Amino acid sequence: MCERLFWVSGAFALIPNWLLKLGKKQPPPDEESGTIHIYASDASVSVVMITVLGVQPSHIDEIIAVAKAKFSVRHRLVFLTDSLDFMQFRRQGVMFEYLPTRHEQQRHAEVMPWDSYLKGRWDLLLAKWKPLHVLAYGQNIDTYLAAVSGNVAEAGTGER
Amino acid sequence: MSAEFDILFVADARFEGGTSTAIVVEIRAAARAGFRCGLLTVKGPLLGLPFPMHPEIRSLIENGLVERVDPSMPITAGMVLIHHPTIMANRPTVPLRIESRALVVVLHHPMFDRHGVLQYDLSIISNNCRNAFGLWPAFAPVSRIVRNSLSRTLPAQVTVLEEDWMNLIDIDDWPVRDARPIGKPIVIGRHSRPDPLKWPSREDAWLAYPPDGRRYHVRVLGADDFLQEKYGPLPGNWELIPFAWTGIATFLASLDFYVYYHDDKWSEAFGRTILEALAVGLVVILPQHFEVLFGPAAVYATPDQVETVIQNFVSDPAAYESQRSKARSFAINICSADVYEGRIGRLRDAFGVPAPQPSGLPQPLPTHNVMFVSSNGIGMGHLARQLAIARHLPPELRPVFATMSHSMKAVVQEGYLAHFLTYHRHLNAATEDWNRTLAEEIFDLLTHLRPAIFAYDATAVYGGLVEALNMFPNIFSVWVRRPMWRENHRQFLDLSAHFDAVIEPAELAQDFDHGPTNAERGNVLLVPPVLHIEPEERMSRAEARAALNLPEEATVVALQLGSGANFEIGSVREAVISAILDRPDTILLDLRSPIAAEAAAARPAHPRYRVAELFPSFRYSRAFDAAVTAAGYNTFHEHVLGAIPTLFMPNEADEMDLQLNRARWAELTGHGLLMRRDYDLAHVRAHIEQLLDPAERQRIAKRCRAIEWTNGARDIGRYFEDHARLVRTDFDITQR
Repeated sequence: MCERLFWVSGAFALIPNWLLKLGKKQPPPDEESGTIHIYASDASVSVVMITVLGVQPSHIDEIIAVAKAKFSVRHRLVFLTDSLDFMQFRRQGVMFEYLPTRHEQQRHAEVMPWDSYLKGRWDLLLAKWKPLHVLAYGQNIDTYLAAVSGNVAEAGTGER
Repeated sequence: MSAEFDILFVADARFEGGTSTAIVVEIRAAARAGFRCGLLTVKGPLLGLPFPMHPEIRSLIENGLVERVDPSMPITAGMVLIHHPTIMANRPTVPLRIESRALVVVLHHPMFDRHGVLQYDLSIISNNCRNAFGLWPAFAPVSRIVRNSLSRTLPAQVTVLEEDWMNLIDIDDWPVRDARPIGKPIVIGRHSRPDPLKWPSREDAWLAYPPDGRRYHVRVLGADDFLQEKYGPLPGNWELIPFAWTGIATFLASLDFYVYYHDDKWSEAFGRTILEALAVGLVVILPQHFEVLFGPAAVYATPDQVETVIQNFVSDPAAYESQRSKARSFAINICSADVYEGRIGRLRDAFGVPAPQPSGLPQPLPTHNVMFVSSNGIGMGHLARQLAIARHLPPELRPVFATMSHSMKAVVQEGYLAHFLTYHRHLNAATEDWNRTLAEEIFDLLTHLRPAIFAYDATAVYGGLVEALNMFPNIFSVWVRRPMWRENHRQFLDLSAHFDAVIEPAELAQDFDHGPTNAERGNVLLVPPVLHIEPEERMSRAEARAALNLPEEATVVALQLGSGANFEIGSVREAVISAILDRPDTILLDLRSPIAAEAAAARPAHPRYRVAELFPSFRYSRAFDAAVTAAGYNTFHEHVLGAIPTLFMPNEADEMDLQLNRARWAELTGHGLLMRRDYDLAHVRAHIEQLLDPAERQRIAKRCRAIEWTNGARDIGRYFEDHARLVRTDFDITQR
């Protein structure tokens, strides 16, 4: 579903390697989505989005640190997390977005049509940030979204 | 399966005066007669301010005399009674699924006022009724005044019931005034909701309510500042009592004469308050135009004749008793609620409404989301207030949060669903760009959550939020904003109009608030201070000490000064810690929120210095002997209402609320102590000495315990419950 995504699974020790594998450059934004670009007023900003879904919280600090070391300061890093420990991101001065875990979705299954919302949410995040690259650590976004629809079996999805 | 009712009442239950009181009596009478009653509440166009539901109507729901219904429910009703024509002046903004045999619109107000200005258009109302309920309505004027105000040439589809739909009264609620002689001075009185139109010109008022204190005492229920605004200085013999929902019968029984005159601009359809005075058996003196309503039950005079009429009765006790008797008889024979069953019976016969069926169980109400949205904030204030409200919602209203707060985890830990919204300052984004994005994000949440209530807690109102909200006019939007604003926040007040209601959780230090919100107090729903955890819900001292591993004999001082992110406090903090730990018997408990985004403060190595990560820490606060804290809304009210002797050190950053005023109130009223960063650094030790003096602590705690308080969160929860199932007719959906 999301061809922009470059997903790398692997052990925590392999972080430096996966960070070298950048995702594809994003296609130019279409006219409509351009209206909600968070940096519409500053075309020089380039964003790299790093999904850290299903990642153990104890690994996040190091992922952030390594990512910050690998990218130059002209790149703004945005992490997409399902962890509620936002201080991990704030302490290291990086931006983040949050998506609820599957557990949260199941716990509140009746509250909203999750499939529609989360797919729309992901499209909105892409339009909002217009990331130059999207990198994944842990569960990739395709798997995350597919799991919402219940189309993907739990086993072998790359969930960590 | 549809809910079935014998009578479905459709009403704007927020009306303060006679219309709501009439509905209350009707519902009671209907329930007594064995009818199953439902209530569909409407937000009509007349009341713009956030009036709560009339307490007596709410009480009927709570006591099961009438069932609340939801606009989305399929309903079958023997008859639908719409109270007040203006609530159908616009078409309902959602489709209704109501089947009925009879539809009656009770006309509580004349169609034209005394100057011939049209008050409502029966043709439009008929059409709106027909479209919404599938029936042409029959109109029921409450009096001959209303009937006479109707056009001579009504639209073809309009029918008017022959019988007046008189206001009724439960006679037992209005015990007759005892037969005591007329007092000296003579007590003249009146009651009405606080509205200048309910009062005559100054000249007439001085004639009808004479300022001669030797002979007359004028007792007024429903007085307010408006009287002084209308008349200037008031006579010294006028006793002014604020408007009240209860105690009316006792008030009336204290009078000798009831005298009621109103503004020439006002047109009284019936005069519910007059009926109440008659029911108590008072001699009632009115302007001539009321004779068509009350006949010989009252006495009619011009204002300049009032004194003469009164003196005539004073000199003729038999005439006085006779008039009292006529008054009471009118109420019993004409307006007693006992006539209601017969009235409904005649209506059923006329419209072929089937006989009532045995009542089934109440139909469960559909569940709706309540969307709580909050801004970033330095502490936990916005979220804590919203969590407090969420705890007081009924199970059929499901809280969902969307917040910019980094403390969102607290919400999830309490079992609620939460979404995160980014805040522009953390993104280095231009505010215009961020607002466009925010509008889209909130729009997406609104379309997916379809909340019945949108509840916003923040001081700043963002353009993106307003833009998204404007796309959903049916959602009842509420801005819950605490007061104590700084002047630089005034700009946000203009955005109040984008919300259906503004609710202000009050401050204990309300008298010390001279900020921009102060002048708006009359336009908001004011509720008592809101607390997430109530003082009685806290652990016992022994439990809390055990949970925190604190020895019983130690003097435990809690420290909660915040992160210092926007208000540097390092030096004072250090001095406070040192002053506390220099005493031999103390334990200093540095409270940190495990989920709040606080910067790491220094942790001195001292055997009696401890860090405790707690949320909500107030639950453990009986373990504390004293505290040193900032004066944010939540912490301040927790500490004062929890009677914790506290030294308040306000965060005086420009972007914050006026914490200094709260702390000053505490100091000057004996509810706490005040220490300021920039003024008291040299005196920290003396402040700590004072705080830890046992007599001082006892004095502060005693003052705090004397405060009478109820949790405003409960009031807001009720308000949400009463507004989550409204039919909106307060705007024209075709114009939005």
